[in-house]
Amino acid sequence: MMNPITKLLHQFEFPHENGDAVVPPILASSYFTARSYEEWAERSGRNDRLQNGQPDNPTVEILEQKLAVLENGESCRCFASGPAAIAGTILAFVKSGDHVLCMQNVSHLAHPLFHEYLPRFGVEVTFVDGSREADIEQALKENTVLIYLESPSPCLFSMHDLRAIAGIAQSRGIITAIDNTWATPLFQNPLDHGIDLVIHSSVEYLSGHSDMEGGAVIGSMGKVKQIKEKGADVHGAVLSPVQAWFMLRGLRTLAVRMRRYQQSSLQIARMLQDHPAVEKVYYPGAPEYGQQELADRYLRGFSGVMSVALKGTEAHVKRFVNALRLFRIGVGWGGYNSTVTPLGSDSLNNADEMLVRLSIGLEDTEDLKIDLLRALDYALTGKGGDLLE
Amino acid sequence: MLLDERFEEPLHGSAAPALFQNSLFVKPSFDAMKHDRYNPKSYFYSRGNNPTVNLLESKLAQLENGEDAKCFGSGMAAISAAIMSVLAAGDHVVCSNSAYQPTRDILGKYLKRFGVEATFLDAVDESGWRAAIRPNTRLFLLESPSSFLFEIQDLRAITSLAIEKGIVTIMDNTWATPVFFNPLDIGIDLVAHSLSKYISGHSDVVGGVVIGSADRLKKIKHDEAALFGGRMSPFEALLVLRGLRTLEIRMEQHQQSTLQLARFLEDQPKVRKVIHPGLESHPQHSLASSLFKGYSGLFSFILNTDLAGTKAFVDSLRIFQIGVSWGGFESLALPVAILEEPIPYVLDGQEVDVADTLVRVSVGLEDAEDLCEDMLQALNRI
Repeated sequence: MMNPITKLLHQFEFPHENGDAVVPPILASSYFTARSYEEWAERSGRNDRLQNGQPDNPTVEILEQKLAVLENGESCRCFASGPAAIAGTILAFVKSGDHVLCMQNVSHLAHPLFHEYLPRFGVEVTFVDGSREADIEQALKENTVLIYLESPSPCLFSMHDLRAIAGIAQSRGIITAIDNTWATPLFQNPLDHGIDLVIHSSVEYLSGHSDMEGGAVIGSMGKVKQIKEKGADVHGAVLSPVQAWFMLRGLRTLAVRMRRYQQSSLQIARMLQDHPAVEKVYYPGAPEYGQQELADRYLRGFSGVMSVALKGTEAHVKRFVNALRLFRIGVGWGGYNSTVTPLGSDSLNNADEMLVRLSIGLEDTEDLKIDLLRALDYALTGKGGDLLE
Repeated sequence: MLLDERFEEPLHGSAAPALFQNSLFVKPSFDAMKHDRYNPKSYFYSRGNNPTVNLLESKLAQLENGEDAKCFGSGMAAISAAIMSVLAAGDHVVCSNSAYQPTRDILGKYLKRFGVEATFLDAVDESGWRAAIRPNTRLFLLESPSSFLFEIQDLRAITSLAIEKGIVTIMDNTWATPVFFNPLDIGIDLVAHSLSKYISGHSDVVGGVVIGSADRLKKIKHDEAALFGGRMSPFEALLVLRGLRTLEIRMEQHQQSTLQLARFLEDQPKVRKVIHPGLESHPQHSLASSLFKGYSGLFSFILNTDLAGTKAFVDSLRIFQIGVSWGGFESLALPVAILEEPIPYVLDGQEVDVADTLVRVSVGLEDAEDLCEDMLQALNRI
């Protein structure tokens, strides 16, 4: 049995079918031609994907096959962005008159769809906290067709009991979809726990170099086919072959990158938690994480995104953010460079807390710790400003 | 520090550097055009300066503790530019006879036409190099470890000798990478790398770089780079920059898996000898560990078989692919026999030709256990 990391590097790549090239070519061709009338007719007859105008592409297909295997799914569909993946998935399974259950703490990328777009077309959406299964069961209706969740969640990294939710849904024939962006397929595989569809609404970790946008959904052959036919192809938000190639390139280092993110982040979370400027650390790998049992059950590892509640006021947050040298200020998540995101006005977090989100990058762990310590000391005391260039 | 962003002034604050895929730069006025025409730092035409390529050059110079760097369209364009920048007709060069073949061809064949003499040496120690010096010796070309047999030159002693005699030193540091060795720190004048290997790391770039003092690089930029024009394209530079992001963690993994595989092979009866400078069994292990901070993923071993057995072995490999080059995410095996060149090696006190049974491997980022298992099943097919 080959290790998943070895498989990830080599599966679905056939150099000897691609002119012996060790790296799959970028086939940036909008359509594919036949050599003869007979070949054209033969392909049409067997509904060949390259022939009949479906937006499949051999370069994208390699990526889709690899992602499907990574998530222990049968099939995958890639999209031009995260919101495209969420919308393409949900819209394939709902119609006017249906009811959808959405967890309150899902990524803002999903908000326009669930808050505005679906209600406009007669799909009712209920938002629940979802931390207790009873709440979910209570919110279900006769016409509920889909439950949408994200675990761990994007700002406070709270987790859902995937097996329990999948159990409730399965008994009533309801489809479940989860955004698994934080954990990546290396650290959590929701399909193994009975969830129907896994979405990656950001491919930052998968591609890893802060230079592309994309999204993906993975699930059974039948469900992904439905997504292709009723969601993706209608909206046409396909991933370009060039982007797919960049993402394939990123997957080459997924395992070594995730290992480093985890190593650095576990150390940093511990350090932050012990600092007097810090009220609380929100991170499934933190020693005082509130849902330890769920983390043990579902996560094989911890990625590098966490939130920190600072003591004090917005002035302390400002001082902290401005004093950081290695962390760039941005919405970044999962890239090679560390970023800090002030979460002040975000609706997903505890509004009374002074929250910043950190995405730990590939820089040297000690350098990052020194940078954070210096900024925390400055936030706390207002001193040490002379150390800032 | 692989990720230092001091050289980046991102457009619009973008997290990733911009790809400037343009050939020329336009100027707002006659005076600006005239001023930039003779300014070596200005953006005028992308064969000279291009912001994407320049960013890569700054990072590579910093990685090697050099003052400046120039990127080229291939490793050979880089090393040949470095060599040409030092030599003139009547000069003499000393180089190891196990250096990269095309490098030896430049020195021994091409430059011979222009009146340059070359001596190719067996020796890895200082005394051998000292004996080869002539009054007109101008350049030592260093490459360590050697291509197939991983002999380690005594770089510190040879460099001191060169400094004493006023001889310029150029070293090809592709094997160790800047993560594991920095030649400029021990007094070597110019470092060349093939960027196609570990530094880009994804087997999708061909490129090279020369790094050294500002003075030496100024000449290379002005003469060899500008006149021969073997420049690196901005797109390749972007891919190399992307590769640099993971260079350190890739090298850690390459090193760890390679040592595990090399030790595993040492225990196999169908393997006669494993040649890896990181192994205690390597005759120059202590020299290697005094020079290099770590070991990359390229090494050789000699099979306990004949040519037919070597064929059966490489054809049975499932994860290791058969190919040249190295330093990528993918594991490769190169049966040296395909080169049809004798490879003399001392086995059990006797010099023999090991070309038929010598296999060079580049260990990729696959799971190390899987790689050992692949080797084992292929060894069993001999």
